Amino acid sequence: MAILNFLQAFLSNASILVGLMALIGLLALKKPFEEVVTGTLKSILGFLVLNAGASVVVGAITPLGNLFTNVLKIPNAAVPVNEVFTSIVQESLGRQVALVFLFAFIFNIILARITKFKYIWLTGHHTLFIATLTTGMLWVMPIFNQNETVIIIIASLLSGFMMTVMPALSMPFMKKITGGDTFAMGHFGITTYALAGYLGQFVGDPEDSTETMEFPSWIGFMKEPLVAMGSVMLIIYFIVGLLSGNAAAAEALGQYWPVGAFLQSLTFAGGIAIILLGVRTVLAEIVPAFRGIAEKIVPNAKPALDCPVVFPYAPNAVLVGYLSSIVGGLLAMVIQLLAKGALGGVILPSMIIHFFVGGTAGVFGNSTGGRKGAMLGGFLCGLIFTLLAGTTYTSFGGLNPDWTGSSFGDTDFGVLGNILSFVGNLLK
Amino acid sequence: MVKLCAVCGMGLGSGLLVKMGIERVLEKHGYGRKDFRVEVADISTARSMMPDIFVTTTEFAKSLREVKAEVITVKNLFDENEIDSAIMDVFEKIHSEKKK
Repeated sequence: MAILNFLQAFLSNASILVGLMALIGLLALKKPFEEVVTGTLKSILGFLVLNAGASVVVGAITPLGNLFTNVLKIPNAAVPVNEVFTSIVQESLGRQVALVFLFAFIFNIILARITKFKYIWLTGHHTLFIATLTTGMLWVMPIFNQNETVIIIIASLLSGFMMTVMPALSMPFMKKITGGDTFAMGHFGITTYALAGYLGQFVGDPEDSTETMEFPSWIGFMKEPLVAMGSVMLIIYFIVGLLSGNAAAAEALGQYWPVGAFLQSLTFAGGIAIILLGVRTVLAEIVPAFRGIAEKIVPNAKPALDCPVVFPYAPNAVLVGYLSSIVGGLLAMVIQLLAKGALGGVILPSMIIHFFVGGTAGVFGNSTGGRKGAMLGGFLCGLIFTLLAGTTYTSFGGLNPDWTGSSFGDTDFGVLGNILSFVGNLLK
Repeated sequence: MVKLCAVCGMGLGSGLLVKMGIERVLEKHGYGRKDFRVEVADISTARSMMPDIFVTTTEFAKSLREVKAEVITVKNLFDENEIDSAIMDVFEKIHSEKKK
């Protein structure tokens, strides 16, 4: 029994499960012994780093959350950063998410093999995010009664399904953007990318392309997601500090609260950098192994790739989409504030999501509607993902009080999250 | 050992695609683990990596202007032929310099 208990304790640890995934992958690729050992250990280490980053980020946004909730009386204010949310959920559902992460990969390969959707999803961090989203949403559905096995199976099927089918939606526009069909979009903002591409044709002309526009060079810092994120957090912290008044702000952030606000904003960005390092270390071991295995099983597969693969085809459209997405997101935030809770959480601007999802929507919009298409695409993207993140945010509510302060961002997470929460309410 | 660093915005998805591309290309040319190592980095921390060669896209190449390493840009991050023609000359030059 002692051995069984030991094994159970060993295998119930999320980081060790992820290490085993890497181990299996590296063995399947017949890597040399030394590489198998270092690869396995690195993936475990990466996962532990990911967890460590969560506490840094949570520490940095807790004072902000306190001011929002207790002083300004705006509960459920959240910064949507998938990395943060995922690492926080690790604390309560680590093992379940790790298993869904593994099975989602496998189910993607099976579906690609047996259906006409030949897409192999190579964006590993989005696999981790969708595994976290589905596991978390099913966990709070009363009908599943927190039955682990059932939840893991359904979450894996849902994640694998999204990974195999969603890229198909991007394909007509990917052909326009890249001039070929060698790869698909593998980034969970696809609903708004396709929307941007579809609506573009009605508002503009691809000949009137964003790529003929000129931008001032100082705007370059906006292209560094972490720096942009830290700067915007600083603005948010200052506004909230001023609105809360000196006394309340000093209580949350220290006597000279602007100094505290400055440090907390950059600590927030620093915490995200730690989480990124962790995710990166894990993915560097697992994704190549997954790709190697997938190529053997699904020979005519089409890879679904991370969104920046389309950025070089229209770099200005990325900027146009990004900036218009911020405008759309701010408008959605005002709507959420005015709705006083009727639309769920109040979603603060997350530059990371505006940059990647808004920027990609800009590229899609530009491909069919030029600059007007890029503007509309980015704007709608920011508006829609912010509203959806708000309604999903409150559905997570009861699971873990520590979840306050962060949420999922990208549109498809919002779409799936809302569908699951709707179904969950029906089946109560 | 030539150190390469693939850089993208967050150092997650597209950086890893470039890393896999570089590894495949160099292995195809007969280089092994003793000849090169490829890391992935995000644009904000990439400067601290100090590789021999950075590989990135044009939009991020601007932020890497004042580094000591060679900065190579690629357009199609998933195209191994493009990575091949972009990196091989520089790689072989540094590789043979280091052997001396």
